[in-house]
Amino acid sequence: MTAVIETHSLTKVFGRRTVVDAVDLTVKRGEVYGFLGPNGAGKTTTLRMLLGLLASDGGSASVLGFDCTKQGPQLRRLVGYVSQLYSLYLDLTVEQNLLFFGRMYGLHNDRLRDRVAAEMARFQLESEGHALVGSLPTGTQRRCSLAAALLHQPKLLILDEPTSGMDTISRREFWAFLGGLVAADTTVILTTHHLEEVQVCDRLCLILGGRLRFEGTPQGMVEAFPGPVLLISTNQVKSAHQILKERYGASLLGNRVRVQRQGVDRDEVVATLREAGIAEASVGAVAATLEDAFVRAAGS
Amino acid sequence: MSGTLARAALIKLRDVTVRHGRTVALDHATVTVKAGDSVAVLGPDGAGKSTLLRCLAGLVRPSSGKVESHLGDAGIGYAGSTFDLYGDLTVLENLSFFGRVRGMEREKLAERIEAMLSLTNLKGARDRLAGRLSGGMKKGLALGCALVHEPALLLLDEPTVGVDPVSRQELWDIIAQATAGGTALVFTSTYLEEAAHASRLLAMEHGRASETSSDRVIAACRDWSAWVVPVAEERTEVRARLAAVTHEPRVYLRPEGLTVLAVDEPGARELLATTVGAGFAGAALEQSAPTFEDAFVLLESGKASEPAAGAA
Repeated sequence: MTAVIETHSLTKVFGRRTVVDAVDLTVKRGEVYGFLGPNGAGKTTTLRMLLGLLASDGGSASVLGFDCTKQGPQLRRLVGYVSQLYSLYLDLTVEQNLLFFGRMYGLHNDRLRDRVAAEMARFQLESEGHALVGSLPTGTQRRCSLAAALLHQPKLLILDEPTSGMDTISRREFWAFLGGLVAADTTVILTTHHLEEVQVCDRLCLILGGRLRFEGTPQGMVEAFPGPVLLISTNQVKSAHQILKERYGASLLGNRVRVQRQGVDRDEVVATLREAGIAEASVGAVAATLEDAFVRAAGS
Repeated sequence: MSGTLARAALIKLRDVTVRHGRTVALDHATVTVKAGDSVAVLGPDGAGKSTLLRCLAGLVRPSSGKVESHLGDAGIGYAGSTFDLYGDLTVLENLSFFGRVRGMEREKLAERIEAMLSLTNLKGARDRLAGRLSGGMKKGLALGCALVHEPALLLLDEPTVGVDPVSRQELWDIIAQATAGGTALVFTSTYLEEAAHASRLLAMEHGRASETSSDRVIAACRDWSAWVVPVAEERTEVRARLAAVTHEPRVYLRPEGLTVLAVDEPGARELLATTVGAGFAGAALEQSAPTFEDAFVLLESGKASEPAAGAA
């Protein structure tokens, strides 16, 4: 597979703060690629540099064969972007929005009308064509923003937290839809805070404090931060939580305490609790999830 | 639990219906919340989760039915899914404002503000404008504002949506500490795994609310299995086929492979044939139990039905 995005030592400095620090990324053609990291980690700054909207202060980046710093306008014609806020005009109808965005992407006349009709059909928006976007439910607005981003048939689609607030069935439908796009040779990059679903990404990267902490498959990320997660049941949950929180950053899960810190084993937890006068506690182990790997990486 | 019977009911919705124009947002809902309860309200978009919460908060008047409660405004803390904060006020000013509108006395309020700042780890940010905080910190502050007057009932609408995993864990920890003293909690979520933070589960669909539990949800699907076909090179082909049948939530791709929810093997093969194509219908199938999410999807999409109360 050829690379759609390639960066070498990509760097951005704001004042004295290095917000993107020598990041090397490779996104291959036709994959779903997850872009992970806490708020403020440098994800958006990186994306803005990749789109040529922000000049880098070091390193290089190419997207779809274009140099991001010099050829921003050319490459942006081949990219679709859906922000968290959907960026639609609420006082225009669905059809007016799509016609407007189509023109922005350089579509005109018959071609524009054909593309708008095709996307309205694909996203089941025909019956809402004349409704003001502001009057429609969130789910419909979401479909409309996706339709707008796909009008010019981009080679690369960037989605910022596309499933935030979506229910389970809608999420399943959405992932199936994305799968169809990549099968048709579009590359998809998405950011999300909901890690259980990123498992279906082909690959992902984790950015922490401006640095690339991991790049690889979801399974690879779990394996990069190995070891089980411990679940502790005791009739002194409150004090156990207090002690284990101070010592290992444990959290409460219902009436059990959860220790996810890497390298902490059952014997150590039992000893710590016993020291604190909690003799009766059962400690079980469950497999670490992608979310655990994320928290482990952020804490290390 | 022996204490269950003795716990006082804080609020009761009796046969409550809420209509917005022609839409029935809440349909004859009967729900009781007792001291110490922790209730997760789950369900698809538009099922009425937020309306139920707003009804409990007294922010929506029922079209019919009754809300019985002695709590009053001072007994209820509510945080909506959007940040109900004043962006141009500081963290401290927000907490102070929400305390004062609840009629708190000066001394008590000062004490509670300090407690909330330390509970939500915002001590160092007390003089920052709320509008400039990160998403996780805003959620923390919204939680502090809902708790500042020590309510007996805490209502949280999607408390962790849009928050990164580290902050999400911190928020749940704050919530757990805040409710450890017996404050009842009712929260909505679209993430099923968050049900683990609750002792009761309320499933909502088309405005109707029904009491359930994760055991009951799974029991409802005990006849079902998840049949998995490992997928390697055919991944692109499978994705293309699945995109054509997005309306069928029983077939989906997960890390282990292509997954089909069906009652028996012939059923699984038939569903494979009609969705991803005959090419996969003959593949080796590995049987496993449906996950909680699978079970929920089966119930929500009307493929499986829950046993009558008491049967599970």
